[in-house]
Amino acid sequence: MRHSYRQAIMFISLLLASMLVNADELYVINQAAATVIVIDERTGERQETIAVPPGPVGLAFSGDGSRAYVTHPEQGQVSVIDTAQRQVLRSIDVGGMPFGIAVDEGTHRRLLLVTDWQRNALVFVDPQRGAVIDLLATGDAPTGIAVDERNRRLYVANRDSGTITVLSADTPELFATIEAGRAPYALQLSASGGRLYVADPGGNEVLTIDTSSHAVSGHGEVGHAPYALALTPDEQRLLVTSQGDDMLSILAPDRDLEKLAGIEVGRDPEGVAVASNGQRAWVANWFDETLSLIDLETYEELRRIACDPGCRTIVPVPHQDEAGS
Amino acid sequence: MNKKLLATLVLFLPLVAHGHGPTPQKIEETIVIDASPDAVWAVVGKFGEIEGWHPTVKKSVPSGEHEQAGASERDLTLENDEVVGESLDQYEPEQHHLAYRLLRENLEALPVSFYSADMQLTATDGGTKVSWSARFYRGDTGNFPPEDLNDQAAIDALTEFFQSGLQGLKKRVESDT
Repeated sequence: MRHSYRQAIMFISLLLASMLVNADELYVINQAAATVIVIDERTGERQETIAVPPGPVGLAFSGDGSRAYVTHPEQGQVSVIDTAQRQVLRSIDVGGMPFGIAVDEGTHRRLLLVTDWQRNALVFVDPQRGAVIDLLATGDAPTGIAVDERNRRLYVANRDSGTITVLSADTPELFATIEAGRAPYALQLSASGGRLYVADPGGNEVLTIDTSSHAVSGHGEVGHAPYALALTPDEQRLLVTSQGDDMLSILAPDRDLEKLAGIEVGRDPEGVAVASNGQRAWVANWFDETLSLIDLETYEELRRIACDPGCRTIVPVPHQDEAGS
Repeated sequence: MNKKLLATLVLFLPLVAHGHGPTPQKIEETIVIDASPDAVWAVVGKFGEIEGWHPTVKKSVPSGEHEQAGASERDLTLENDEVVGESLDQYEPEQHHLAYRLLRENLEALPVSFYSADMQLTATDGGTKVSWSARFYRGDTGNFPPEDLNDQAAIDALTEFFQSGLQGLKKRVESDT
């Protein structure tokens, strides 16, 4: 009995793995259109348009890629997408203005971590029960959230306080409040959890935080109003979009965030995502309602395709080998 | 906590939770002016002197140093005597482009809590196309905005401000040349 159960699990895992590795997919959130579109990364083709509740902003996948969780600040909700069926399964009422979202798979149960812009809090949601299980105070207007599953730490960017809140992922314990620029908005954690990169649209720069000392260890100058970050798989390049001057900047994390290139994209770029092979990047141009495809070898824009009105966030579907166990 | 205090707090919340949680809005208004881009830029490029061409700006007070634009900030007094402050973000005379943002919001002046705007001139057949666009948020950024501070109120107010401004700009530049 137990044996066959294990075999079934293995079969399903293999099936999922082959499915996910074959399809390098991007999910793009379109806030004004209230849609999530699924793009085949290699062809740039739109595979699906998923209708979601109004005003979607943030998106995070479960570790196995089977679920996507989407925040809806104006509804006080998080919707749950089944990525195989490509449709919304249900919406969870979390209250407030849920904005940024991350998934913690590091313990026996999956938790959603949601920043609440209105209540200045980090909301813990159990997606199985569809219920809020805890709410911890952050700074003002919390936006970006990053989870270090292994080291059990959570990082929240507080846009209006100019700080990063560092919390324990397991106990309601505050480790640190780090002064980090004028209006820290987006976060990107290195794979080891050793470095946290912060986009500060108020100070027009990217900061590196050493997570062991909680000290700001580097500054990188980018264009006007940086709003989103992405790392290449080898972590040799940090990609930053700047909304104010329509640029994608490429920085070198190991060389004090030295700027390697600046690539002009469409108007008011926000979300950025890197293909799993590290060769291409996608940028959501909010004003133009387009996605720019960037070649990361030549730093040229290869093409633009249409998104829906209000495209802001791009998240690649995780591969099975990236999934936390 | 007594009920009166709670009610006061609840009323106060949308103001305290001042931010950009709601869906950002955008508009783009254009007009074609019978003059060269340089001639149009000579007027709109003086950032602090918008009162010279915008019919619903009663007064503009420039401040802050900017060698090329003449000022890096401006306070606009609108028709209802309310004032909004704006600051210059980008100034590119060669591209005939400038970008600015709302510095001090005033919902009595414009029911918009934040905006960043671009003005871009491009040459057309013998004339100039002026494109004036903005990204902005409604006046009340809470989840239950009253009608006069919702998305539509913000869109209507800024659209009207841009349209009347472009008409005024066209009139001013074409009468100059």
